Amino acid sequence: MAFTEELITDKLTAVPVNPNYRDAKVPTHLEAPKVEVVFIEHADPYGPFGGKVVGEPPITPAVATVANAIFNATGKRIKELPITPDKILQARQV
Amino acid sequence: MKSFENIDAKSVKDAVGLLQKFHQQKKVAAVVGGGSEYLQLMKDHVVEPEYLINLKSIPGLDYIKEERGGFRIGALAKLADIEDHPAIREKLLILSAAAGDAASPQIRNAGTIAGNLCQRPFCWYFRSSNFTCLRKGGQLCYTVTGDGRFHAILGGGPSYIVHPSDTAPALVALGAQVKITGPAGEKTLPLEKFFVLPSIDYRRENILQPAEIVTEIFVPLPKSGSKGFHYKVRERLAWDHAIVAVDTVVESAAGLVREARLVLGGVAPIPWRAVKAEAFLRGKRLDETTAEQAGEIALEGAKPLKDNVYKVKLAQGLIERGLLASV
Repeated sequence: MAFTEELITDKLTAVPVNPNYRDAKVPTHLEAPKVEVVFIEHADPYGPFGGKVVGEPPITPAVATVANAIFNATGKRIKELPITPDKILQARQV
Repeated sequence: MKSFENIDAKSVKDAVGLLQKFHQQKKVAAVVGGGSEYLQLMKDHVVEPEYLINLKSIPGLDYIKEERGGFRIGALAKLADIEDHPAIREKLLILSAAAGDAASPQIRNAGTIAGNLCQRPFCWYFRSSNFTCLRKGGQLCYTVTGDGRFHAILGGGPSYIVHPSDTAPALVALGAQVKITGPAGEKTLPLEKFFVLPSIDYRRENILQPAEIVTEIFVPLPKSGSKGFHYKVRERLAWDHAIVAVDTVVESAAGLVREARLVLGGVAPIPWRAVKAEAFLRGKRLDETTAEQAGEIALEGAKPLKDNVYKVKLAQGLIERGLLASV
């Protein structure tokens, strides 16, 4: 979400230009970071029946963390996901 | 995919004869080696041949032979075999590295060197059946109005594709030659003369005529005192094309550059030789200043599109890095 799998659309025709695994660039094993899974086994008073979430929702803070790290490193705030190398380099040029 | 007829070629002569016959009959025919590229074009409906001439049935066209002056590589030599060849690793490391940077292991196990050099562009407008772009007989190169973040900054116009081959810049830097076989016989020419700029013909990427086939690549050994450098910047570490790639071969003596060859990939519709920067470097001592100047000279005249301005600095930086690694 932070780095890969951008759906790129031709602005004039609204046709997606990368609707395939080659150009949408899903991560390969080489890009996949080491993931450590930690379960929080306490009831959450705000969750339904004390529940929290697993799977996709916990990824959200990771994206903000990455975006902040890039801002911290480059001084450029990139407000579009995913943050790919060309966007960082382009932001530093203009 | 449209149905087609497969014909196993018995020899190069047989394949050329078949191509010529179908061309005269105005039938669409093509040769395939590994098939990793051409079959994809068929699936994307970019090409719809009636006949496919299979070259893999030709015995002995996948050789890698070391001779006194260099290496002879048969058209059907697989990228994986070039990558892993012990003598190529020892004497032409940038070629091994470039072959190993192409596509994915599965594709390198099928894809051939000739197929890699004859690839069609991987521009997303060219590959999409939703766009009939200039290169497919349309009126417009859609990168001009659309998204050109991965497209050409040098040598573009009227089409702004970048040449997709990873091995081509390395081979051009090494001064490789290509052998083409056609109805009139064989001819050998420097590989850099094989590629065609869109300003000359925007419907093709190379000089191959309808019944001609690439049959061999000859790579001369670099002169003693030479150092090579290969680097490919990409978004994904496997199965991705170059955003910018640089291949340099620098021959030095007594701390001074005798001859330098700088070739960029991912920036132009052909493997882009920075001839002016090469001339500038002749007789110079390589240091941070001359390397930086060479990078600036190499990118003089670059005309980026609105989305790929970043490639200019990236290419300059890579040239600098390559030259400093060649001291």
